[in-house]
Amino acid sequence: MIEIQNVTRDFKTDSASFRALSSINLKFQKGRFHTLLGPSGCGKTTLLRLIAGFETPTTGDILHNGRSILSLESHQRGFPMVFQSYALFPHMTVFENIAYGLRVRSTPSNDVRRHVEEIAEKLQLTEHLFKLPMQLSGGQQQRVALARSLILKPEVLLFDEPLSNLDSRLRVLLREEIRSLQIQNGFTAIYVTHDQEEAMSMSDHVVVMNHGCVMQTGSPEQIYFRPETEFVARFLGDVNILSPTWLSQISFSLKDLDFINSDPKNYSIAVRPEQIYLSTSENALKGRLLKKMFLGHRTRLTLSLHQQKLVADVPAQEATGLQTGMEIGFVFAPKETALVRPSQPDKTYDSILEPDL
Amino acid sequence: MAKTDSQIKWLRPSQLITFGLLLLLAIFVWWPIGSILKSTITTEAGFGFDHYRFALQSNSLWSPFKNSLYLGVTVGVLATLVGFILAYFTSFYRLPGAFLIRGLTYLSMVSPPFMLAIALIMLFGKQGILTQSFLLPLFNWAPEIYGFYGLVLIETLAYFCTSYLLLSSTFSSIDPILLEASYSQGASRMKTFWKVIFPLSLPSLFTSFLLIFIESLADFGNPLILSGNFKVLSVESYLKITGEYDTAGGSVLALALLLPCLLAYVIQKWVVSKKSFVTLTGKPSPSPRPQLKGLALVMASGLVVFTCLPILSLYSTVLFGAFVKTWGAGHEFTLLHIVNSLRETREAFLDSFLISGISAPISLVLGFIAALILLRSKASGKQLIEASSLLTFAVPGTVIGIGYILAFNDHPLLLTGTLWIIVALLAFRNLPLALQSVKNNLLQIDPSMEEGARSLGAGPTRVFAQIVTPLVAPGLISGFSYAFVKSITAISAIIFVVSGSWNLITVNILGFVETSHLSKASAICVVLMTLITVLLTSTQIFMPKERR
Ligand SMILES: Nc1ncnc2c1ncn2[C@@H]1O[C@H](COP(=O)(O)OP(=O)(O)O)[C@@H](O)[C@H]1O
Ligand SMILES: [Mg+2]
Repeated sequence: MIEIQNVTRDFKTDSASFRALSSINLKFQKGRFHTLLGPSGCGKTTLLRLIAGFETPTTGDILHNGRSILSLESHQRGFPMVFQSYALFPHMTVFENIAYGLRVRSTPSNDVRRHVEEIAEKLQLTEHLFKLPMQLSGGQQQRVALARSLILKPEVLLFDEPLSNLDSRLRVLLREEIRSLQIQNGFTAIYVTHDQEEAMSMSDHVVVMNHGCVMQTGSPEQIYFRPETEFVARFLGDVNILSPTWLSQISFSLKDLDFINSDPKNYSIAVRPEQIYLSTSENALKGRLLKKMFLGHRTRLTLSLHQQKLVADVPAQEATGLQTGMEIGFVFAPKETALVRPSQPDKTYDSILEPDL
Repeated sequence: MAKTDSQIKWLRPSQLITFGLLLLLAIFVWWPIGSILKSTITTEAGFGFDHYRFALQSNSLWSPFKNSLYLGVTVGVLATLVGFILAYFTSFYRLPGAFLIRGLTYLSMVSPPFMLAIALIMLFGKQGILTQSFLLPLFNWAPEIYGFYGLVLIETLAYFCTSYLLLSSTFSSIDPILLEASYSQGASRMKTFWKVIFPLSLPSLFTSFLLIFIESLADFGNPLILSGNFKVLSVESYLKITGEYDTAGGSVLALALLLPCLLAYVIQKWVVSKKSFVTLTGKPSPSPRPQLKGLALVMASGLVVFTCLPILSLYSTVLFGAFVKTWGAGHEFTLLHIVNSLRETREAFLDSFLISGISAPISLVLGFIAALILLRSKASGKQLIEASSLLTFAVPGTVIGIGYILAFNDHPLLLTGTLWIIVALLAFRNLPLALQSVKNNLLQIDPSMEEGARSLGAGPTRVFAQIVTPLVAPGLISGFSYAFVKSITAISAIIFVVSGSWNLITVNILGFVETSHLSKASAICVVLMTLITVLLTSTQIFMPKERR
């Protein structure tokens, strides 16, 4: 288990000092897949590099299995890292790249060969072993980087956006591969990404970060369906944020929410587009259909009610007869919504979350 | 809770190394220059400005100062212009003869810096072959090559390469899309040139002017041979010290030479380069260069030929001079000059190669260490190393040479007359070249390569030996070659520190020129250039193949 205790990291530039991480406390359980998720510049890489030993915290401590590892240099920690840029050694063959860590450990060359061939087989690299990295495609290069780390049978493996340079099809393919390798080998993965889909599909445990702080941690489901802040709700996907004023206009009762444990006045409600359902019932809310967009398996409707725009994703068949300008009945279930604290307005993410996509 | 500084542990020795490097730079670069300053304000009475007063009154300062600046500005403008025009046509059009210019830039790098002057004398001097067999009989006219005009001609031809290389790289980093955008807006080629290309290259033009201005001011070999009655600072300070034994007077002139050079360099480095719009790292999309047609083609290639032919004929003159029996009289082929001059200068040849063979590796090792410190450590004071090494680019060789004889002629560092004063001078003079070469290479290497190796368990020594060194090998090889060639062809600084027991080949060539043994001078130049070419070609064998 890796524990981050009260870690702060300041970067001093010429005049100012910039706090890239502030008072981080985290636990990474052994053998599980953890992701650090957050917008670019929020400090994910810095945190990962602290664990790897490429940076030192300004204050705080980092423990591995209960012992502080701050005094260990990165090559003594034994946490291999996989980089976005692959970072393969261009002057060595694929074989030598994969063998590097074993050679460092003075493994007998017979064993090196056996291990390299074994792992190359597993990652479909056998026919490329004697090429130079530049002769491989991006996906193959990243497989070599994986093999180079996996061959050491590490307890902990670190990833810094390893798939960002690949095209989207390959990205999906490799993320499944990484996840199944992690399950097979049982290493602890700490995986940095800014892609919420990647985070949700791969992880056991997600850490959402913003501005150098941890916003929320939990399983992908908890993070997605029970966000605690507006920021987390918005970062993980499209969402309708409904203010208390508006809710009172539609006589929505906060009492229906079974997880209130504090003053609801400052809270808004987050409802995902797929949690809004069309309804013909008497009690249904009535909104005007502003826009209709066919997405394939679903249809996205933009509705308006009391100056509030709402986005709803409904099954395509249900939306066939609907035309813009119509009054439409819809409902959402209090149990499926989440109470969220407002967070500082974050310009970067406002734009992509405008209700009328 | 642990509280640590933000320094990575394995780099901590870098602080010590940084101080060591700074100390070395202080002793071998800044102390000599300080010694010059000191000698100018030391009088018999102790401290005073007598030497300055005397220099001003006797007019021995003012006139060479004016001449040097005048020459520097003239050559700066002309050479920049020539380089600009050639670079423009070869960058934006397909032009026959473009390879000639590349050949010339190579020749100018590997030849002793005053070789063109020798050729000029062989052609147009009083006994010159063209003067004697053509100009005098037909026009009853002998051109006056000694003085301002001869110097302007030779320095322009020698230094336009600086401007050509600089502007070529600027032009090649201008994205052709910009030009196509301009044409598509209806601008003609002429308009596009004045509205787009010219403004974008303005900072490079200024840079080129300032750098050539410095080169011209610092030039020693050409003025020594050609200046005649047109006195310039570099030669005057040399004559004052070696001819009149007036060290303080020479030092005053050296300072007068140093200041405009430093000023020009500071303006270039910290003002002009900040204004550059074109990023030299940009990767412009390739676009077909149009073929010039008709009159334009004739004029443009005429221009290239018109510039290149005179220079080529000057180089050929030296080549012929080395192999014909009596220049201007008997033109039978002979190896006599080669054999004789080699016999006479064997010692100097060996010394030159020995000294460069020691000093270039020192430049390389120190440059490599400095580059690693600059780019891979957080040691404080590293900016000082960079600034210090950059500024030495601007210090004329004459100034360094005078500084060395002043600084190292006494205990505790009595080096005068030894091999080591020459080695130290060349090693530190060429350190910035090696540093820049390694640094440019290191800048292209993703640091995550080293981090990757460390996360796989490799310690600092292993990372250095197995990852960093192989990856910067091209930079190391070119840095070494550059430093070596510069050492072999150096003249302005080392002429002060050579001695009876340690002499250098370039000094011997100058000696032959002064005693009018031009055939021997040519012969040595040819041998030297051949050896350097062989050497450079063989280092290419060690160059790793392209990996990206
Ligand atoms: N070495 C450094 N010096 C100064 N600032 C840094 C350094 N490394 C990171 N930062 C700053 O810290 C912040 C977090 O960076 P990073 O951890 O790389 O973000 P992320 O990986 O989440 O995109 C950024 O604002 C970045 O500019
Ligand atoms: Mg990052």
